[in-house]
Amino acid sequence: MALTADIRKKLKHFTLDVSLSCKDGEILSIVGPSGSGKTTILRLIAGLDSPDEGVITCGDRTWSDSRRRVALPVQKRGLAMVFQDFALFPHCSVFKNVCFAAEDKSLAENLMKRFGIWHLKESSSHAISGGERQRTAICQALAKEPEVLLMDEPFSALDPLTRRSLRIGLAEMKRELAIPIIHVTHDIKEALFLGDEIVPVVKGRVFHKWLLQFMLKAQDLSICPDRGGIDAEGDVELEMYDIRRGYIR
Amino acid sequence: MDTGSILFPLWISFKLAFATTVVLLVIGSFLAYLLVYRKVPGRAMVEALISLPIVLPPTVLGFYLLIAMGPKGPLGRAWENLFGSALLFTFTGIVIASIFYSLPFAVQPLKAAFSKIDRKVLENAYVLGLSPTKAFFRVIIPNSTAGFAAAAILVFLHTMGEFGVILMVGGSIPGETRVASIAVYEAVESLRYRDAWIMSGVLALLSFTFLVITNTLSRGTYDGFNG
Repeated sequence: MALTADIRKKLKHFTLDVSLSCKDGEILSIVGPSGSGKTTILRLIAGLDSPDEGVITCGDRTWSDSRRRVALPVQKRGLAMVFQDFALFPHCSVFKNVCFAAEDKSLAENLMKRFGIWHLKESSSHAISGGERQRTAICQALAKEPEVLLMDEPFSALDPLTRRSLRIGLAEMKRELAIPIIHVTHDIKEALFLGDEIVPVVKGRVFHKWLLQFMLKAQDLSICPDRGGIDAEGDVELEMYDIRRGYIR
Repeated sequence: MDTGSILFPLWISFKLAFATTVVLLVIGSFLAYLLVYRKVPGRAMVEALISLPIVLPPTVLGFYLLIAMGPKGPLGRAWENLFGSALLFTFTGIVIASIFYSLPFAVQPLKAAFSKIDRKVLENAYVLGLSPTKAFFRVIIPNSTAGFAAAAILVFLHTMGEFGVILMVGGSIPGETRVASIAVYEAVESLRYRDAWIMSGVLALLSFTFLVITNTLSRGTYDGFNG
């Protein structure tokens, strides 16, 4: 099964026009600077916003088709989404949050144990740390057993150590999940670490992979000139606009 | 001292306030939901109409309701066609009048409580498979408990203290539409100060207690998403 999206939407400052595809067991990382339309792409795929035109399909199901006026409601798309700012249910405990859409409570328990938050099961979701909330959000999404997983900058609010351990956890889970995972980030290294395919997006448009080479080169030259490549332990983020101005023009 | 002349009006006021509160929590939450989460054509007009009873003199609202609920008015006629009885000067009539009169006191706190709920949380509920109706019961209501409590208390107290509208629509029929506030007025008119003291004391004490509860709720409790 694969998720494919070929969509357009007029936004305030530019028109979003993207075409992408993600297969089962793959992570597609959309990378780009703030305001480039990354989150909008996820919202359109999720059905939280409607594209002006285009088609979104998942396997043999059409989620959205502007010509045929098909727009499957978000509830029926069978997906889950990890929001950038967690979006946990504040009236629920951590366990109830994870179980919110879970049919199998034991799966929820296993996920919580695996992500190291089982001891917080009775805690209120607004009384735990950022890393714990993010783990809860990931467990909540996975406990639904979704057909597609969308992740909007899932690690942006975390400290480097927590970020690293969660990235590794997700990379390991990808094989087991065997569903399309679309991951949005502004951190090129995160995209390189997690993504099977990387889609650079600038001002609502997908750039080709050669752009990525430019981006990496640009990072070596302009951001960490003393390093021969990307430092796997570091946390250097890419300013794509600067790179575009300097190298692509 | 005639105990019945004190207890009956208090009992009718309580019954009226309770019925109005129950009905308005349902209607109010529906209207607040529409105003917060849906595109409502002529929103400014709708909101002004809902808030009108706050600024309108009760006798003016009472006059309009008297006409609307009378035998030739649209509400009165519809009621008579449906149930074969008049609406004016009945307990049901004053409940309907109270619903109009106290509507803003239900809608405003609920609107404020619903607005505090983070949209992303609701979107997460939809993404996780909840329909808007299920999300209302599983996400919006549990995160608006203080708003519901405030709405209930405000409507209850406002209805307990109603005078002008009730007098216009219900008159002062003992055991049917004579509420405590009207009974106090009549007791004073007929120099039964002892009755007036007791009923006023009960109303004042009740109002004070409920307002303390409202203030405690709005100050110290967890409301929606603001911790």
